[in-house]
Amino acid sequence: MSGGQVKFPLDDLLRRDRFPHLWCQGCGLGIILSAFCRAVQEADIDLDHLVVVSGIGCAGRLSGYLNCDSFHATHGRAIPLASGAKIANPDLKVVVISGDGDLFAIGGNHFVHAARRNLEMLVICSNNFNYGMTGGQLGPTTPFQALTKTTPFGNWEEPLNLVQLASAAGATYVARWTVTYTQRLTNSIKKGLQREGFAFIEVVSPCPAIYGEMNEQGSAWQMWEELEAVSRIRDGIPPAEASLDIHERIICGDFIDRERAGYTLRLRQNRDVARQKALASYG
Amino acid sequence: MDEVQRRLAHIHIRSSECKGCRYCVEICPKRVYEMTTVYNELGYRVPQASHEEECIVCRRCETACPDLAIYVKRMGVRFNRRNLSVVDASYQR
Repeated sequence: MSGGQVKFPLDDLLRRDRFPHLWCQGCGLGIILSAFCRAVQEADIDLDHLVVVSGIGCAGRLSGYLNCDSFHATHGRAIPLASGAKIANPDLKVVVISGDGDLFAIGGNHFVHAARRNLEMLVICSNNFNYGMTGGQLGPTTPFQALTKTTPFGNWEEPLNLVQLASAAGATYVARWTVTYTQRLTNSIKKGLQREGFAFIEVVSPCPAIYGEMNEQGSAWQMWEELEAVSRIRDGIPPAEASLDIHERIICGDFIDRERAGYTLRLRQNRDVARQKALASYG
Repeated sequence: MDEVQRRLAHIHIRSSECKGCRYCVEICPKRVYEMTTVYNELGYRVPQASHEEECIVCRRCETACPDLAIYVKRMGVRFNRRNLSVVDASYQR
């Protein structure tokens, strides 16, 4: 039970004075935070050149716990803010960590266009199937026939397949993990951090206090066990085949890994060409 | 010298930050943790590493703890050269 004064390995990356964090018992966001810190440590990234942006929601509070430059953006606008930071200073390592409601409901358009432009950033989406912070409303990732506060008789909409969307929009690295694969998740985040291109990692995360309670999935550990039981790793399969059904099968793995010139690189090349042409025209 | 004491890790738990989700208790392959009846300042029941000597330093609990409240510190171990039994497990690298 000791450990009051002992320095933990992740203490340098965290604002420990703000702990204990506000997330509920057994929430997957703490595991994402822990995996992200470990990945930053393993990838040996300078904290002075790391920017973490998050939107609104439970996941939005994550940036506040990190001991680096971090921004808590307005709802859905985490990617535009991160794009601005990256374009203004291409030396920065920009990471967006946010929830499914923030990134894909209100901020869906920004996500698609950032992936299309191949902005050099890592986007980590914590998918908990509903809007957790506002009380558990229907979101774009809520499974078919799931119960939420706004669909008390079952959801009649089909959910969005986030990895398929990211892949179709042009992301260079696409992966999906559940929080139960802690080590694989850490390795994947490390891979995404080292990549010069748009990287997207979807993390299926349990929400025992709201989603789990509405759908009678039991305690945090029972949700974890169910996630562990239904998830399978299929590396390299087409993202369209990577189904996500929380009671039947969750396909995890690295789906897309390809090379493409990044946005800020092309922007600089274009700027040099434009400068030469302008100089030539002035004689 | 005959007493063989195998202890590979020292487990630190920040009980004040624990929310009692039981992930560490259930996930440990060696059943190192068990729940206590102690409540912390937040009002959650906290676990305790009661079989620390069983720990194999897989760090599953450390990576799975959603409250970042566990640190498994690896200990250096001194072996007896003749029969490879541990003679001093408290030795720290």
